[in-house]
Amino acid sequence: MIFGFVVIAVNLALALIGPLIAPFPVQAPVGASLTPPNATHWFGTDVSGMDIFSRVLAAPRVDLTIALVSTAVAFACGVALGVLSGFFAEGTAIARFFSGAIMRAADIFQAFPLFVFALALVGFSGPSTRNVIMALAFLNIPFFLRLTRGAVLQVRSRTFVEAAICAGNSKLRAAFVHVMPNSIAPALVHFSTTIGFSILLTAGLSFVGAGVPPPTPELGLMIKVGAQNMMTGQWWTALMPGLVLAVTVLAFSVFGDNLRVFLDPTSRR
Amino acid sequence: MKGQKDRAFPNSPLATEVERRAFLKYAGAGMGGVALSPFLAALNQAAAADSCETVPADKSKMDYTFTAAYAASPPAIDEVAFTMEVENLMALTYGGDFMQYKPVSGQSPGVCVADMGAPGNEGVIGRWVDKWEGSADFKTWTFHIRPGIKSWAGNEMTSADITWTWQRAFEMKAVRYFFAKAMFLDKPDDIEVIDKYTVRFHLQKPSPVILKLMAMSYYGGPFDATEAKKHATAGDPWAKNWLKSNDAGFGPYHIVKNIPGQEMELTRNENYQPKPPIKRILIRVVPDAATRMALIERGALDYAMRLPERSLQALAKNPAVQIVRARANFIPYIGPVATNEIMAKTKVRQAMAWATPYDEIREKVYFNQGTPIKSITPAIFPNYTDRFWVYKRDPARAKALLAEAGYPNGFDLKLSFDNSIEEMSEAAVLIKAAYDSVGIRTTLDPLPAAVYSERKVKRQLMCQVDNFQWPWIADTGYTGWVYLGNPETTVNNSVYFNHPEFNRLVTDMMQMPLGEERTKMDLRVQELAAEEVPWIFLVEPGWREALKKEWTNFHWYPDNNLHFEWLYKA
Repeated sequence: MIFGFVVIAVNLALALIGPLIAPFPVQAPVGASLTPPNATHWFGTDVSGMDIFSRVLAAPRVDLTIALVSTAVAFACGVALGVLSGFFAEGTAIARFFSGAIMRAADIFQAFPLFVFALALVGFSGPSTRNVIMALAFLNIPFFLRLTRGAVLQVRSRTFVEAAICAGNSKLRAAFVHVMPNSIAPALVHFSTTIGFSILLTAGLSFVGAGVPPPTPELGLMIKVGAQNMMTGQWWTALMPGLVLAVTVLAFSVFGDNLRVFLDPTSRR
Repeated sequence: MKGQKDRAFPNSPLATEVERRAFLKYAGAGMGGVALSPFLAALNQAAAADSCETVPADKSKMDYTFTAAYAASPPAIDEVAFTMEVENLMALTYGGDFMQYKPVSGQSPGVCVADMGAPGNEGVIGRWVDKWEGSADFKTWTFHIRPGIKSWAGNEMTSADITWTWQRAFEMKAVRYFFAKAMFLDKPDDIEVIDKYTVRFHLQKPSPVILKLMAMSYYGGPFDATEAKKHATAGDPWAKNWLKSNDAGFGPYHIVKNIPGQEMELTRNENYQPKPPIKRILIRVVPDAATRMALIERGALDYAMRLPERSLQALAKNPAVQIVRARANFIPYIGPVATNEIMAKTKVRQAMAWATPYDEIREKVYFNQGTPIKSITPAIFPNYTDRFWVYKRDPARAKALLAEAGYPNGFDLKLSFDNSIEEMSEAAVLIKAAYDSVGIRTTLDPLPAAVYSERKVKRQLMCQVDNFQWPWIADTGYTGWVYLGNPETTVNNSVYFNHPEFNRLVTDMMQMPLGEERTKMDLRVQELAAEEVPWIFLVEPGWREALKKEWTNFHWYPDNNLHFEWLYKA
């Protein structure tokens, strides 16, 4: 828990001040190309002569922004749709139809391999930070939807929901005010792991050239540029951003796991 | 003008070439013609002052197998796509048109290079023809095909093959058709059959570069029409479908296996002279440059195509691998596209030229290999001069010009490039940093190859950094005409440069005899290209190929392909 919390805190801090504390400009050559790690360039320089350490410090602003915003959008849309789909799964014919339609749409989107689908979406709309965010958000909606729907199906038949409706609440109000707060825990736990996964997916998209444009300081893009140098012996160009990426994703995963235990009293026992 | 130097083309070497080759032909005819072709070949070799025109007799007896890795699968082996792989295959299977550039010894041992710097047509010799004549007005050209040239199928090249080839070109309206237009051939009937081995070209206008155009036409034949017709149908009279993945040529090799995206196998045309020492070529398609590098590094390949300079630098340390280099004709450039209002301003383009980090690109992208480009005409071409290109990295001057152009606070620039070309991606990063520093706020726009190519041709980009230009014809007029001529008629003018004087000069040069006046025009074209800056020239990286150490006798031609037919083991 502490490891995850510390790494996430550092990432958040770097997202705010990373480019400001970087010792060198993050998008301009500052020295000879492919300089090995040394006292001046702690992580060495890349093929263009840019300081890798400075770029690693600046990377969370891009990676975390993409991951947080896309996950937040997916969370908001997925939870809302999950509540509607779950709450109205048994009701009037029209309500059942829309509930079913939402689930079938989710089935269709989830039928495609995730990365290929992301690649297609970004390829179609063009590589940019905004489009990557949109694509990742779109991809993650079904996961939040299913988790929330499952929880709503359990909660909606409880007596406090019936009581709320009997007290004069509309069904929609009952769904969002009374059912949603009691069904949101699984989605909240998933939120943390999805951020880690989104960072990984962003890096993957950049690695295949469909992510943010160069020379944006983004971990996947740095690994892509550096990977070409690994073959010629310049290991630091890809290894340093690769390690940072691995630690970050692991931290979000560990944090999410601990959050699940924290929110689930039975697990805590 | 047979046998004498033409007054209109004072530098023409036609007389010398014609006389020597006429002697060889008539001597051959008197002694049995085709049956004595080995003797003729030997005589030809003896007559040739330069060993670059021959393959040693003992090496011609060899049956080597050669393994190569292409970067991509050729989309077709017909003239429907421009890729290095397609051009390589066409050069191997069709061998080019009537003429060829004369190979002479290059700067590096074991490397022969096309004689591009020779004035006029002096660097051009016959390939399939042993004699040729131009009329006094240079509108009528007669070519005498050397008897005994046979395709892999065993059919002899005759005038009928040539007429079928050109008729097909006019039907296909592809690259050979482009060359027809550049030669001022208007219709198939402009090519007249005189006899079995003689054809006459009737040009609508005089062409000073027709021999050079013939030296570099690797696209669209000449076809073995007898073989190609076997695969024609009523619905496909020009055998387009079959020729997309098969060959019917007179070149040194023949395709025997073609699995798109995976592998190809070529075998020697046993009728080709001089006989290539390599009998069998195995080509694997390996898209990833790092993998191609790894394969040659561990000895699994003889040749890895299209490796970036960074990989070549690493491979140079391997004692089993050699990097073959020659000065070449590449023109990597930054192209401000004048369809954009800002890019249309000359002062803006000049500011960009002063802001460009030439030395840094040469150092970091090309590892100090290659040479800075300082003219629209490559340095190895005739009449090249660097005296007009004054630009070097000078941010203060760039800022001053931006202010004069009405952009004291700079402007936003979108710089596009093909993201599959690593060196262009690397150069773009350096250009962005340099431009940002003078107020040209640059956003990089990496695009997939097909998307980039389409938008470039449609002139939809704001600015591009590109390396897909290497003029095949050693002539400034041709280079200016084909890449930067009137944009309404020149599809290759992807930057929409439209300068009346430039247009007039390059158009006139395409139909003006060689001589002092044309040389003046040549220099003026170079001057205008520097003043108006339609392209910001970067670095000519040179021809560079990675092969196993044991191979030698490399030949560089302006198509920048590795011509396997010359190679043998040292």
